[in-house]
Amino acid sequence: MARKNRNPVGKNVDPEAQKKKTRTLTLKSSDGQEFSISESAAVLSIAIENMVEDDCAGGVIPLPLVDGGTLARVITYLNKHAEDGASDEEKRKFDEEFVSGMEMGVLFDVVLAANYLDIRGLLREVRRRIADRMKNKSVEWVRKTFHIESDFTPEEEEQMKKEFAWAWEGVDSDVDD
Amino acid sequence: MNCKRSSSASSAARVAGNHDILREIFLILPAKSLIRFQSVSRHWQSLIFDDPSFLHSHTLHHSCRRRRCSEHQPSFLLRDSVTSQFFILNPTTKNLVPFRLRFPYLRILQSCNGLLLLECKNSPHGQKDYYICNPATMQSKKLLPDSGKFMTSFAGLFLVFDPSKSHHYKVIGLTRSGNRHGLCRGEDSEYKVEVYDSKTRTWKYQGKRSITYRPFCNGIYWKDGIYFVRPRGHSFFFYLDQDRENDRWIYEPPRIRSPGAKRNYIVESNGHMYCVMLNLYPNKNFCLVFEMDCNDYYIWSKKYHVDLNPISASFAENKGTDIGLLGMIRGDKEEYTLVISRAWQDNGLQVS
Repeated sequence: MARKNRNPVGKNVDPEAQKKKTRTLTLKSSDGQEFSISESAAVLSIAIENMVEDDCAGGVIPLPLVDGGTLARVITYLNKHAEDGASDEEKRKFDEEFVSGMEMGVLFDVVLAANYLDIRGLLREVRRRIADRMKNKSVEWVRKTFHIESDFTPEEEEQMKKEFAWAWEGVDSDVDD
Repeated sequence: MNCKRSSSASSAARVAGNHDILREIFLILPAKSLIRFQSVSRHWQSLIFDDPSFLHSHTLHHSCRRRRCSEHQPSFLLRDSVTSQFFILNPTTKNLVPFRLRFPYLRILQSCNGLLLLECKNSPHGQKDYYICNPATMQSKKLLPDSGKFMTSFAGLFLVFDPSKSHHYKVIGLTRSGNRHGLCRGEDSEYKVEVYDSKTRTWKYQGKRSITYRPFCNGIYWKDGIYFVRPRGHSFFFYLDQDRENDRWIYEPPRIRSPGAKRNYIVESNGHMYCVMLNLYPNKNFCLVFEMDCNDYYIWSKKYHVDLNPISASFAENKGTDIGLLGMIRGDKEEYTLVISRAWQDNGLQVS
């Protein structure tokens, strides 16, 4: 499958790419909100690209696993990355700012959406951001944030903490930054 | 509001249950975080430790020659020479955290890119056993010889591990062959070279090498060879590759002629080999760092001169006599960290 159109900022004006820029698609979120997006931006999502190619879209593409708020964020990302003349440096800066203000809950929503829609760049950026937030946090913070119940006995936990005391050293406070 | 909270709660649970996303996040997390997060739940523990291919990818992802940022600053494993107690020192926080290696009568023969080669005994004069140990995960493996042989018959054992190339390690064993008696230092001797490969879990005879006899201790694995650098005395190395030349001499590390000259330290860090020299004399405290240039006939070239007067002033009452080098880290962009300590009990650690 050809993915020539993943980066539509080309030197030669390809008539097909030009058409994609003017053609718009409608994405429908799980809560029924509809968003218009140019085809050239939408196909940065490999999942959407496949749907468009298979022509099963019929104008409106339903995305039952993505809520409206998250879809709006994802579309902001796609539009920036499909923008004509946006330099790599500009995009990198945008990516950084795009994820920097997000709470963990929002990051989770976006990482799931990026995973489902197969948007590699966004997925990479959000994963990195999540790891960055987690890396110096306590085990308790991670459990609370990921909604995980511990299934270790207190003795087992104490044992691990003792055996790997160095890994518990220098842990940040649980206050979210 | 309620609705929003429950939606992100379910997203959190969905992320926590999505192996692909979790695995990719775990891959980015430093090893220290993963060791801590194994206690989040049994599920996470098994994701981290039960999949050798994950551990392999993580090792390669974080190996020093591939990483782009220098934020994964390594820690030092230190041992108190009096009590034999181990500590982990994080050069950024300067905290000493007690560390236990569960081996009796232990000697660390070699540290190689995160793995340790250990010699231990059940009693002070008991039989020697050899282990490869990963102090981060506390996993260890006893080295066993081929049947009918003894580990103690090896004249030298060296660990070879380069996580940027492979997650498997090798152990090189040298056995003196032929004339066992009457050997003096400096005399050529033939050694049988046997290599243990953790991939195949077998020893393999690799041939004979003629190496000038010296005690094989404190070997450093560097640039496909084992280096024995003696601050005072003859230094040499031999390549692991059979087809390359046999053992070669290295220029002796430089000396400073000064009443304050202390011992030299040979340090390998991030693919570079350094000789660090301390000169401690009232108001003339300094440190010289030389780097070995392997492209230019193994000459030591001077890299840095560090003024230690400010440090010794902060250790004032102590007159600088027990300032020592704990370690050195070379960063990716030629920045480097020297960890210098004075007497143990004071935790008087100064990082420059």
